[in-house]
Amino acid sequence: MRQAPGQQLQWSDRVFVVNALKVGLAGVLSLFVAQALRLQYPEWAPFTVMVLMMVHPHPGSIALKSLFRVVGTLAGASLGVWLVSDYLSSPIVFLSLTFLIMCVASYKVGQLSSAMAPYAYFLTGVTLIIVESTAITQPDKAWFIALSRAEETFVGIAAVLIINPLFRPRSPRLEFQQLARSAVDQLEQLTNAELQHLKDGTGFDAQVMEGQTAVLRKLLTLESLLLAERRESLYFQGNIAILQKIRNSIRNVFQAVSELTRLTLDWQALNGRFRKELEAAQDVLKRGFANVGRTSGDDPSILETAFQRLDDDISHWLRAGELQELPPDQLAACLRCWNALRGIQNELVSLSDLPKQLQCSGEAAQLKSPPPKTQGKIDRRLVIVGVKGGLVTVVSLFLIEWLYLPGASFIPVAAWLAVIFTSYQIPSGRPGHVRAFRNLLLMVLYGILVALVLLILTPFLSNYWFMNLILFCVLFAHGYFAAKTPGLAFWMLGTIFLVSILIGLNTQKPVPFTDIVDSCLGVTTGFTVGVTIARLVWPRLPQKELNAATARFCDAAKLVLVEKPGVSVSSINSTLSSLPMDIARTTAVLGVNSFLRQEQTKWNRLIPVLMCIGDQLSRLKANRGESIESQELGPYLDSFHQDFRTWLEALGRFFRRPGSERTLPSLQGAIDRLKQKIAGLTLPAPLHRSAQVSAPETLIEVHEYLVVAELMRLCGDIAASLRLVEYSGDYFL
Amino acid sequence: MNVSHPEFDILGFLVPLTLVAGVVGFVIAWLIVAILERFRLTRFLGNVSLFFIALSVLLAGLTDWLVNL
Repeated sequence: MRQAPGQQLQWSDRVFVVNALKVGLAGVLSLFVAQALRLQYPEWAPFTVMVLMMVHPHPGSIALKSLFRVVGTLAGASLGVWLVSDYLSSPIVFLSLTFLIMCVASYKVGQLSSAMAPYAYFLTGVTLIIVESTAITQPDKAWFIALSRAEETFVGIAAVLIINPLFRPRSPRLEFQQLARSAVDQLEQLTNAELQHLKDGTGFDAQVMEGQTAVLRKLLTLESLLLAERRESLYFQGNIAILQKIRNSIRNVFQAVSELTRLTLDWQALNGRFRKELEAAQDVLKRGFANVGRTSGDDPSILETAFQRLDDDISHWLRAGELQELPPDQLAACLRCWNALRGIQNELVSLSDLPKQLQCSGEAAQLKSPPPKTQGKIDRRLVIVGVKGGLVTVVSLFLIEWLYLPGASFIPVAAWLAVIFTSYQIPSGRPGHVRAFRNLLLMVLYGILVALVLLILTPFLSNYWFMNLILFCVLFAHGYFAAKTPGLAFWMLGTIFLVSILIGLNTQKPVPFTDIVDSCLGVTTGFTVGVTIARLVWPRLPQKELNAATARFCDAAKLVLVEKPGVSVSSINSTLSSLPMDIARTTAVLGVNSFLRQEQTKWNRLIPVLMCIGDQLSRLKANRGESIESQELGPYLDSFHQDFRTWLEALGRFFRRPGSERTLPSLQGAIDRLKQKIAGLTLPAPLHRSAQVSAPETLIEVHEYLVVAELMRLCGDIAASLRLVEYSGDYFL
Repeated sequence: MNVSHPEFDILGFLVPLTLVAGVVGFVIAWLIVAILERFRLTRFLGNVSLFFIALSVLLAGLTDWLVNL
């Protein structure tokens, strides 16, 4: 199960090479078929192949993707013919209808992360633009262009479907398993390092921080893998419930380990028995971690029983008042430490024998995975992208119709794809519109280079074999690096158009240099229009997204503490659990320069705290019903809800308006009151035997509130250390 | 430079003066924004890209006017 880093690298490299081979062969085959059938625009067949295989697919995904591609292409071609034939003579109606259709298509593409169906909208948009931009200058050929476009798309799809099964499919289970195993290994190292720090009495160091960040990144990758698989692989969907369970367990272990990081436990102040218990627990955890990857390790029930025995001992000491000599803050720290260890142990039991769990597809049938949520509400961010998509199409159609720019057929499609690629980048691990103009400049330089290389190569491209060799090499390189790159990078878009230009030149007859320059200019103009509008109108910048997501987290956390009849607890809990991951995803792309990399480190410290706050508040909500039954404790604990709400409201404002809100309300008073309460609960315990039965439960309940208060204080400290004002504006062209 | 036809003749390749002015304006605007970013002053601008495009156009026009003086 465990693999050396070298072997892992070899394995992943093999995956990339296989993908590159598939793209290369499918591209060459599609061109051969398109030319053999004498199709008018053969360049769209390899274009289809490249777009279909942009992300290395899992089993089942290509067929589904191809189906939606066929549907989308037919819809787009029909709409294109209808608009060009009927409304080209009345530009206002023509552009308005195009704008509306492209708005809807751009909006729906944003929902591609949760379902595969929006892929059809993407194809509708692309096909409509291609048909309109080609037919706008020759409206009498609208039907012919639409049919050609549809035929070439089908050729591309067929080529992908033929080539894909020739190679062994990518194994998503193995990928998930390797990633999960590696995350657990790292968590084991972190746990040991944390416990060592506690024993040595040293604070957490930069190495631990790096370890935490690395685990967080792995969690994000697991999340993306799950999301992609839920959408793409029919086979994988059967296992989704097990995989979600595993992902949640790893996440819970991560939270528990990060809880250990924050402890200020005085090891020397603990009595010898408690220290021995902690060491015994560490030993059990060590065996539990080893069990995760092995199929023939210790029986998980033995470890569970061993830990339960230790847990019972601690509980007994609490009831007997044997820990009363500890100061209240140390007792609270002990309890938190023990809770964290218990949390890790519980999750390790569910993670034990991970390979076997992933093999077990029968269990998957019993574990029902909830269907992906359908987007009921209209998402404001997607509406913005929709408007930009529509606007960019209309502007580029206007440019080609009224300014007669060179390379007209490429401009609208390049412009629209530039908007779509840059606007939906952040969730896929790319920095959105940050540095969009710089990328555009690089693309222009790339275009100049391509034009010069094509000038030299064009005479040789008339040889069929040479042409195919060049095409294969470009597609191979594209497939290799595209599989290696997370998300959709701008260079991928450039390469797709490079291939289209290369084939579109038709080198069987002498090619004038102006044709090459016109094509490159057309693509560059399209990118310029797309990037300018995307960057100019409501740009998506990671720093703004971070603040907005954190403010949303505060709003959701506040809702947990409010008794509102119409608010669904499960939806709030799900928001609280997903938002820290969104913040982590955006934080990963924040480090554009050295200053922002420093800020990124602080955000990385903040994320586990937010995760724990969300988790802890949900726990408070669940315990609230029980504590209200206690006449004395209920109102006392309720008084803290108001403090927490006020604080969360202030934190929300702090992130929403970084310039105006400088300080957060102090929670020190609440923390002191809770510590006093804990001291009051523990001290009389051995004197009043009658009160001992309920004392530990009450203590733990009060302790839960103390944990929230301390987490909030830590969150406030980290938030205050962020220099939000300095990067809350618009940055990086 | 041919004054009656404002174009630069570079080895027979005619480059219009407006294009040169545009490139100069663009480069100066880029440098100004880079300096502002270096000192984190762009936070006072509502929209950096709008500022940059406006500055490019302004400087290009200014360069064009200065050359034609």
